[in-house]
Amino acid sequence: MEALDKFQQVVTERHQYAQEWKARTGGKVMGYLCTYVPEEVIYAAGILPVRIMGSHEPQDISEMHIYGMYCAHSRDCLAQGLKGEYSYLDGIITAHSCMHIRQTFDSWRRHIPITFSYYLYMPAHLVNPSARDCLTEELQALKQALEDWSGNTISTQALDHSIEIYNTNRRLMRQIYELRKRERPPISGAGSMEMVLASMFMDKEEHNYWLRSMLEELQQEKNGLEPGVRLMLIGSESDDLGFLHLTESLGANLVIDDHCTGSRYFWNEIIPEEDRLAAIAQRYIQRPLCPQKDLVERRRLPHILQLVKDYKVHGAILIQQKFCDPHGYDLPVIKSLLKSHNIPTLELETDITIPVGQFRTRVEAFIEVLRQEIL
Amino acid sequence: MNTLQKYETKPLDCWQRMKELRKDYFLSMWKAKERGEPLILGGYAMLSSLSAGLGDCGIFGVGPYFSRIMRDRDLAIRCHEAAEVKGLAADTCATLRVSLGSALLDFHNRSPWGDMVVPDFCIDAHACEAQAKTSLMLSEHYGIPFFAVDIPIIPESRIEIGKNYLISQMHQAIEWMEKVTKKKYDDELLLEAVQNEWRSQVCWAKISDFQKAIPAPLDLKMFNSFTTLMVSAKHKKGTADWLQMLCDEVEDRVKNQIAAFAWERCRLLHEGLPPWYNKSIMKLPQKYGATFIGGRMMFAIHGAFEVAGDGAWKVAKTPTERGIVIKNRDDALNALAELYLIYTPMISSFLLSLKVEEQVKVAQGWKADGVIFILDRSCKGGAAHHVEQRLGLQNEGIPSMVYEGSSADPRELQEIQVLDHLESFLQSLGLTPLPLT
Repeated sequence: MEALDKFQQVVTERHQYAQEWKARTGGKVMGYLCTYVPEEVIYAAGILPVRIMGSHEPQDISEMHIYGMYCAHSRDCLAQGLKGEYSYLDGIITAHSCMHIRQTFDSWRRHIPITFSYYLYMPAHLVNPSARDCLTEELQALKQALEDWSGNTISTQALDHSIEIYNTNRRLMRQIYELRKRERPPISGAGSMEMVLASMFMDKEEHNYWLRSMLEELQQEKNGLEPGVRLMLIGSESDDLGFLHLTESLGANLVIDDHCTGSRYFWNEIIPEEDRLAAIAQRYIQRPLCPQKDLVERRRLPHILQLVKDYKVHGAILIQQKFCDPHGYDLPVIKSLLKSHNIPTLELETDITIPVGQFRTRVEAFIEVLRQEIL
Repeated sequence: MNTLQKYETKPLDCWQRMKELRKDYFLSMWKAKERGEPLILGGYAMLSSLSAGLGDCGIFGVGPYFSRIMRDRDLAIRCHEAAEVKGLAADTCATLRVSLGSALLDFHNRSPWGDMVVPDFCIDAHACEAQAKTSLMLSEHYGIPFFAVDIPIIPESRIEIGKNYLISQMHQAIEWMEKVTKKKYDDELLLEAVQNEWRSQVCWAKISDFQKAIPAPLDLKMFNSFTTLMVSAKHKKGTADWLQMLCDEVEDRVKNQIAAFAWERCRLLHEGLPPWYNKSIMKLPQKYGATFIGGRMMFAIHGAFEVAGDGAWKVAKTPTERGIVIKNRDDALNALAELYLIYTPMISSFLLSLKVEEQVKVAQGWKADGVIFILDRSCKGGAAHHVEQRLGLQNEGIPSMVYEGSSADPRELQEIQVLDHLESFLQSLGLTPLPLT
């Protein structure tokens, strides 16, 4: 499939893509560390937002800045910056999320030359009615800061255009995810993650072009993957495609996820309002939650359960970055919830690299048990 | 540093009063239900005044038996294991895991007389990743309603946005507490409590500031003992008055060169929460004439300071000292929001942007000869940026060491290794053991 090939290529050559975009357009590139960063506002300023990710290669360069008891993702991201992989970035931005990634941001700001760094406060208690006003005001401040730095005015028309492109992107990816409900999903879990990851690195307008092509092709796909054990992935930041390929090579289909590198990134759209920034704020408040934002009501639970039902999930892999405490608090509750609905779970912890042999054994055993139960 | 001078020492005169206060608060908490007063879970060291408008209340804080558990290694481990059986990982906040574990073991809410006392509701401030998450679990355990006040971690340049958000949440919290308790909220009591909370924190900052003196009038162990009052009762008049008493006494000790440790010749800071269950780390330096005089975290967690752009601190003034009159609920909540968002460096340091600079300024200002960091595996908020802080100290030629452990989980501390490491560090500063005196 041409679109999937394109996405794979962008994921593999993400730095080259951004540098070529920059050379082609003359625009600035902004690295962001958390998916609570409102990309729409950045995009409306004519800036390409790209998510900063790790490389999953062993490294020893970040240890003197972030101690090893913080999550591997945050250390791996910083390592990429220190190694100069993101030297083309003009700016860096993060939104208030966990302490792990805040260290990445601050160490980056301290040790890697950059002309613009910005921390956006993103409320943690999102069901609180005041959160929307707070975030809207923060977005106004961000808009002003971007305008001052880039010299570009972010007009209402630019915001509308950006919102339209981002909403289209989310809608198309959601439509592709819908197809994974089929008994024979037309796209694998790894392919789906490549699609989402590519969206984080590409100009969304171009990504949309490829998404349309992909959707058309997948809708016409009659065969799809062999029916098998249907698994859901739940947990913290996860972009280790090797693990997904490994799991699917063992006879399972990863049919849905609750990750910020998956469905949480694009699940809901912006509902237009007169105040564009308030509309954007509302979208980030309403999106499927990171556990750092789910403080009182446990909004994540019904959402996960709904996904389990909609995608006819047989079992779930609860996969978290080692030392990720926000997820560490939620996983026992999610496990208990799924158990009460007869959904078996397997818990795995990832580091910068994964222990392939161990994981293979554990995932294979899990799939075998599920297969027996299904039969 | 090797000159040996013996300073006069004496116990604190107000120590006994502190013990009485702690006992009073402890008893009033257990008797709250009998007296028809609300019993409140949560409220870990912030915004204590919020519940004051309900009148007298019992406040559970982090759990009434935390100190007792920390003195009993086996019990501490049983608490951790109980929480882990429920699925909580060993790298979640150990302090709060102890609290949850004691609830799961059914003694968190057992009074000294054996009654099981169920809190009425839970309200908590959420600044680090663990706070509201654990309080939610505890409130689910007890089946009681829960309200979280999200503390905005926001740069000073946009502090008004954060203040508005926090104040709005506090207004909601008050309405929610009225609804949950069916009690009329008394703003006059809130106003008084806010003044007390401010007074307590300013006193804490002054006392911390007095630690710049040579010899230091107090040591870190004493600060650890004072913490109990600050965690859940800093809004009470008794606490604020006692802290003023302590402040006066410490000032007097400075004037008269009365030391916490007679042979002080090397001053150390301990950064991160101390391992509450372990006394030897705090004591060992004394063998070399060194003493822990405090730490950035210990000063910052309960102290009200003005923080300059370069990370330097200055003791803050209370609203009254600044000529601000707190007349109504809005004023009181505004003062409370400012206390935590602007004047409590512990909160602003969660942003990390000045944490390195503050560490250097504290080490220099408090004339520290060395800084010891605990890389606390189970307090990710406290330990954040410790390695960056070390780099900052290195640049200024200030020696430091790190050790791994946990403030509340004894299984995480390799005591002998840490003591050896600490001893080597002290020797690297040129110190030799004191001659027997």
